[in-house]
Amino acid sequence: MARGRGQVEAEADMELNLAPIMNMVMILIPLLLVMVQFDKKGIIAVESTSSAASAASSDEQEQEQAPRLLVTISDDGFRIADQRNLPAFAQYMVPVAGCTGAGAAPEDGAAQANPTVCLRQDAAEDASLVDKLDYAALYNRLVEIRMHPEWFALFNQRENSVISFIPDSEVPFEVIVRAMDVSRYILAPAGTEPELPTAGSGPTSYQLAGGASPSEDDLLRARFLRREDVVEGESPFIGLFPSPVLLSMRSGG
Amino acid sequence: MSEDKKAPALSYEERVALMNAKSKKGRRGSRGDEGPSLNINSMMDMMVIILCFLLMSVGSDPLNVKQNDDLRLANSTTEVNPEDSLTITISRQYVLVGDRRVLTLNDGRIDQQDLASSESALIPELQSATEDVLAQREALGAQVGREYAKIATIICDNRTPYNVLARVMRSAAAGGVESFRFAVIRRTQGDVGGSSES
Repeated sequence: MARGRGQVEAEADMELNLAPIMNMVMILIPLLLVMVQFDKKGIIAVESTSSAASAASSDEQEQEQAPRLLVTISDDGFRIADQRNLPAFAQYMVPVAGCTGAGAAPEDGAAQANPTVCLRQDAAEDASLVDKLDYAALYNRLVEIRMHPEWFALFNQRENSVISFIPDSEVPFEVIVRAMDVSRYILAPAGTEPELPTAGSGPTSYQLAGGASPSEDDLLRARFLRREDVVEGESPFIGLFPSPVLLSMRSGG
Repeated sequence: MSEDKKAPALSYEERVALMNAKSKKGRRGSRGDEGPSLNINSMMDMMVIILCFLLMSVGSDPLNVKQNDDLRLANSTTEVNPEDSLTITISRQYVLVGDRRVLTLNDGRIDQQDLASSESALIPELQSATEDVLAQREALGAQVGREYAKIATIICDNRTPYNVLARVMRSAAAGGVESFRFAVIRRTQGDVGGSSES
């Protein structure tokens, strides 16, 4: 049957009314634009105090031991110590060059008078603590420890890659995050392409400014040292001390 | 009347096109020569694409953090992506467990009266709220046949002093949390432009 003229005209005139959909979309888009966050979020996993303590006690039974690093963060700098008090570690508790009292070996590892890494020389007096602390020098000292020939293979094991932080009670969270950042991976200083580290590699290739007084700029410009043969699910970067533990002073609570 | 007087037979499509032309002409005439109408189909396509993109961006973020003057996250070079877990938010003004406000802070500091005792690091309100939320998650997990790990992601303002953070962590641990994560804004190592401002 042929269609009537009226029916054809009605079909031709029938258009979808998009106005309500348009209205809804125009309301939804600004709403979602406000809600959406363009910053890329990440997380830092930390061990709890109790689990770190149990791991430490079980490790005590091992024969061959690597140091268990302990970094105290205070308003005059970083103090690095070994929770196992290995005699060979004493050399790494000596303050870095440029610090007050540099060259003096600490009498007791548990109570160092001077910080191992003191505040930045170029920091303004009224700068906040996060800008005063010398993260580049901390990184250099940690690389020295990591590249110690006798401990290198041990530090590659996950249970030995732990680094504990004890921040003072007033240290802001941002400082803790930065300290964890510099202790996570080995860096390739800007403009260099060092080989992957081995037990025989010296620390100099991986240290900022070749081990001399590094600046904050050296740290910011350095890139993570990357390995090519990456197993799926593993990080392509070479760990320095990638397992942070947060401890707190007993008195500070 | 007779079939001969009719115009030559047109196909259905031709008739539709003819009607369209006539109807448009008629409408223009009736409205007083407004000109061609706006074709919003392309704009609709664009809007729908933007809408889908925004919906995906909002829905795929397990950490729904809205930064403001009271809550600024620290920057970090971490490579680890956030996962779904219990969140504990520490801003300058309050502490939240999930979406529940459990503690009011005084410019980022805990009032002594909120502690279990002057010697204690535990915050009873926070501990019980953590226990409640973990129990809820466990019950939910049992219903859907999924086991929720007792992990808490701490969304912490970057100025928070460590004594506050430590007390919150200790109270949450007393409430059953076994492992902690810190939420941060990711930046690329070597990207000098994205340094420590936040």
